[in-house]
Amino acid sequence: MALSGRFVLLLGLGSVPVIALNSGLALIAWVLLVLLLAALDLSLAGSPRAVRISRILPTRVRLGESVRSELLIANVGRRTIRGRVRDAWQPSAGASANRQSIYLPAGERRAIATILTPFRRGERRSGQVTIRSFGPLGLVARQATIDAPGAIRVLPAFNSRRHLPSRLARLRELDGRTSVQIRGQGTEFDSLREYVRGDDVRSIDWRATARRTDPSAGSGPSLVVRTWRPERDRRVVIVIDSGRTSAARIDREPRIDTAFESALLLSALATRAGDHVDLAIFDRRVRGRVQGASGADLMARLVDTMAPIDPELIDTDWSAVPGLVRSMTSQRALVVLATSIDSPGATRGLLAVLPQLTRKHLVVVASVLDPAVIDATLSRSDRTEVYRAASAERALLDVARVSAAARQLGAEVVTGSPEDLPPALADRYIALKAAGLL
Amino acid sequence: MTVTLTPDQAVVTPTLRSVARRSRFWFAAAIVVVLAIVGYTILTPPAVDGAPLSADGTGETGAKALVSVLREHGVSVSATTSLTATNNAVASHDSTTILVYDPSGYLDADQRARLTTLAAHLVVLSPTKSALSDFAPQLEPAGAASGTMTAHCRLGAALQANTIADGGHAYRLTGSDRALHSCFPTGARGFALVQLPSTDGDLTVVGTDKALTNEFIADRGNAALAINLLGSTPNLIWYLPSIEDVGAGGHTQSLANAAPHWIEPLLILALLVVIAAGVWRGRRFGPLVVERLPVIVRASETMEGRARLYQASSARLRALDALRMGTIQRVAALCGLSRRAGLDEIIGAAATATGRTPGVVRELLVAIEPRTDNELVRLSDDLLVFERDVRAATLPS
Repeated sequence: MALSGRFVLLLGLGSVPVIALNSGLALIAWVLLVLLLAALDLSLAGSPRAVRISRILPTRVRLGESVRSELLIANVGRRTIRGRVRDAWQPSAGASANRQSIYLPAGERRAIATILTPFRRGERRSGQVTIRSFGPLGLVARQATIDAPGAIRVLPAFNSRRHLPSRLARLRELDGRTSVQIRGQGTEFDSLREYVRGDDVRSIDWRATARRTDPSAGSGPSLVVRTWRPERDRRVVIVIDSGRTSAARIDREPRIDTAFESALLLSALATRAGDHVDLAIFDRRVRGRVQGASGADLMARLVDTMAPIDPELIDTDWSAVPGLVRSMTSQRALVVLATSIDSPGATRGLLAVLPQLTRKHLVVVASVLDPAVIDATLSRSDRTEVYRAASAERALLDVARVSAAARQLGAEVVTGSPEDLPPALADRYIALKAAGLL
Repeated sequence: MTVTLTPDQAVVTPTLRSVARRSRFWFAAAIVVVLAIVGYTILTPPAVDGAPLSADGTGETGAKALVSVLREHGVSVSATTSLTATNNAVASHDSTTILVYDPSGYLDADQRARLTTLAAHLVVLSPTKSALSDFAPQLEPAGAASGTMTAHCRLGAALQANTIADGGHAYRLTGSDRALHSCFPTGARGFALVQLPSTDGDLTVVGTDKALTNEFIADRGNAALAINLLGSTPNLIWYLPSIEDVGAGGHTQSLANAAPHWIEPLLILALLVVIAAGVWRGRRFGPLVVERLPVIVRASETMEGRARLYQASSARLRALDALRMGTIQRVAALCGLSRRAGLDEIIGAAATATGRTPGVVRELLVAIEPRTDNELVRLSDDLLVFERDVRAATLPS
């Protein structure tokens, strides 16, 4: 049961008869009258329990986009329900209007639409629907809360997909190039074509030319060159660190989100280039894993796996990572470790296992740099800022030291601000592919 | 992809019936407790604790014990709380004793003067200072009377009591006036009981108000004194002045009389409205929604913390070294030197690029130790300028 403001107002109006009649009896009579009206109203209110609830809901939404969620309420009771409905979405689901009025005659069904604009990744739920049904006088209401769970999965934003077209174009440029531009030992023979001016004479295939040459024709011999294409069917293993350090925020975005962005861009690129992408999200246990998917299915499974994962406040167990990689691929692979390389102390575990990984695989360590730190090194107007700049320089030196150590152990290091890291990692992938190092 | 869900719905809010069923035990328990309390109050006579020394007070400070003994002795005792009632209760002037006990000082001088004329015998119990000067101007307070006191006078009531206990106030005569009786002397020439002649009878000032209470009436001769003093006439008026006496002689009205009748119901209505408004606003529209929130840790916090540590401990050289190493690394990169280039090599290259002497560059990059924070700021500015010069000299414009 719930009272309305109208009830309070009506009760307060009792002051008029009390003053006018100047007696205590007027008060008692008025209170009884109000209670009687309230009881009448309550008995005429439609039952908020006699409803059937269903939802029309998209299962997924990308972070930052809006979707329409509909709540269908059917009145199976005998009386009209008029009042308000609350669909209890979690705050971060970004519901436009949590509470809405409803007029629902008996036997009818109405839809209540809510626009959801989630502002946090993961599973967003609405557990319960509360209906407050007022009587015809609007004095008192019956209220019931009904369990009618609904959930929507909010996927990572993948803002870096805007970098995808340009990177794909560069990938295509690799395709069908002659060995003039790329002469890596790992590139694969693709096809033969006629020589055009500008091709490297070293790539002329004399044997094929001889076969092609028609002695009966009067014209000169047409030369045939070999073309190359980037190697295909390589393996890319992405390991995302979901430990303590990934919870830290840079530019209002946790490191793990930047790691997700980088992984998504790299995966989109690599799967178009014909490589196999496997992903593991790991701290002390495997939090998420995608293996053996390709194409559009891969991207869908990646975002689905990433969506509900938040960093745990524990240290990552790097000693288990080589075993994890081994379980995902037995071939040589490009292993991308998305983590942070802030201080020598915190990365000791990572550095200890790098040799095991680099012995067999090509390892790239991707880490986010804080642009605020770089800005801090340049503002030195007063004493406090100079000390701050010194501390920022020290932080950058630490990163440089760890990077140098990682390079010495045979790994490559890619760093960048949250906006720059995903394209930087994609560029490194293209460069490695062009060089035939995969 | 959009799906239509038809969740297994279950009403969470309990029905009134189930609430009643679940709280049946507590309802029963509450009823039992209420019944027990009601029964107890009905079965045990209540200790009426009205004003101190009230005639029907059965508590420790009441005086019902004394009053009922007096009634058994045939004295008609009537308890009054206002001067008007007292006036009405006086049947005959001579055969009436009035006991007045006014610790709160409700009576004014006029009312006290009127009171003295109402009956032949007036017993004033522990008067306040102003009351004492109105009733008996020849007396003044003489401190406290304590312990057991002996009569030492010829007043019959006092003689029969012989000793009284439990103390009270004492009074003494100021001028040369004589008292009829001065009994129960205390140390400082004071007496706990003084009887004075009045215009048409006598006026007795008694300081031992406590001796009349239910708690102490049975001690020593307290009861004998009280009964003989108050029971000497067939009528006794037990007058405890109250708020009714305030301004009763004048023309002022009490607040309750001044307010219109509707004020009380209106206040009750206001209370009801406040309660209803509380229910209106306080009823929650469904349960709270729970959401796990992520931790928010800014990555630059360690950097900021270290900066504050540097500043707090004035680690000038350490701070400057960090700045210098950053500059040296960038300058080395700008000059096209490898990561492993030596310091001398970098200094030489930078000096050549900027046109400074190697000595000056070495001073800036290595040698100078800042002694004050001002020097530190200046050196850091110099480093920035130096770096900019190198950049300008090496990068093609």
